[in-house]
Amino acid sequence: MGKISKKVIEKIEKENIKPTGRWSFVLKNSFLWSLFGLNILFGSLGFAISIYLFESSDILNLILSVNDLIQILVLAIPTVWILLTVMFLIVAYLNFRYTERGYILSFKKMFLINLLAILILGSILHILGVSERLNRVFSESFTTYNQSIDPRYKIWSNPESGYLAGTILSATKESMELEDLDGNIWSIDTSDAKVRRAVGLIVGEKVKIVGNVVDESTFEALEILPWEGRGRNLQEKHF
Amino acid sequence: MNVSKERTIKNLNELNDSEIVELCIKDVNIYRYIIERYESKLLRYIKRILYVSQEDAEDILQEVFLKAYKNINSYNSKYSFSNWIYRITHNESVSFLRKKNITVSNTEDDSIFDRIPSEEDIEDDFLNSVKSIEVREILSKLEQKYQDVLILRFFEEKEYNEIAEILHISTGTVASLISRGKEKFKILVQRYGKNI
Repeated sequence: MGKISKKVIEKIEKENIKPTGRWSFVLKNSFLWSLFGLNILFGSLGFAISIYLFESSDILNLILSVNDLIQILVLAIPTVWILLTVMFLIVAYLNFRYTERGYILSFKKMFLINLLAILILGSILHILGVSERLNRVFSESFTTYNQSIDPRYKIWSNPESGYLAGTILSATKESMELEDLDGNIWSIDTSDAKVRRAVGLIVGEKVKIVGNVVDESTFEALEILPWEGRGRNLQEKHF
Repeated sequence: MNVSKERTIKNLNELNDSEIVELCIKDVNIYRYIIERYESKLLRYIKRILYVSQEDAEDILQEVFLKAYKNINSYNSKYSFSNWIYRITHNESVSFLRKKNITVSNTEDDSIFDRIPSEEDIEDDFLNSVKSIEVREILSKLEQKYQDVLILRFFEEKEYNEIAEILHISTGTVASLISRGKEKFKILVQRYGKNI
């Protein structure tokens, strides 16, 4: 027996060293794969909510009519959710990298595959309406969520710039009373407003309004949009 | 009895690595066949990447075999045992460097460049030239990542996919590290006005 093999075998026997069980390696690998899957899922949900929030801000509808487009676009980016999506993407990559054969794909390839998985799964979750439901859950569960994370609250709390949103307190053919996102009460002139098909103009409904400030508590509505979704088509009849 | 034992030893020597690994999980004494099969190769490899004394290299090697035994169940017989144990050796060597807080550069003496044979041509016969001691000494001046791939490729004569498996990097990365490593190697040689 060689010198090294003798020393090693003696040490193994003397210290009663036993090989670590196969199950612990299987468990470790399964754990990493599960974490990878979870991070892809969380990343996809983050991306789905990002699409939902961006789309709900109705920036794409206003793109031709606003003067301050870049400013509004910046406000419409759901930064927190995008950052969370990127974070989950990076953690998913690291999880995969440390799996048994995780080194096979280069950083670029693996990052692109993870990114594609998140973009595709996120888009599917958004189409299925999961993003809207999840956003509502966050909105109802965390008091500061809307003001700090939902970009609609930043864009549609600017009556001076022509963007106002809130809940309808009362409505007639020519006007309505609205409580804005900061709790201020506004009298809205709706006589010349175009109303999106998805808007019902009923008490308790949350809407977004494009228009002009008349005085400190009066707003002239040019277009009324639903709070949720994009409500693409206009109603044929104007108020 | 002796004949039977001799036959057993002969049989064990005929087995491939994966088969011996299966047996040594049940009987630790069989592990010595693995050790004896790899000790000289791995000892040479450690000394190539670390520039340590024989004693230090043997200590590291012992740790390698102990670690390999403890983790023997993580070895997947679908893949090469040689690459698996080279990986452990590489990791132990890196860990040794970290503990000692040293970098792999055995000399600050640039006179080694004067000892490089000038008749060899790096473009045409890199593989041969890289084997000389002088060239090996130049290698030690390269960044660790280039040394790792170049040593495995040109000293241990490993294929790209084997290097990928040992260093846990993609084969594409191996290829680009080897290519860039060779370029950097040439620059080092040219800087000192010698052709190899």
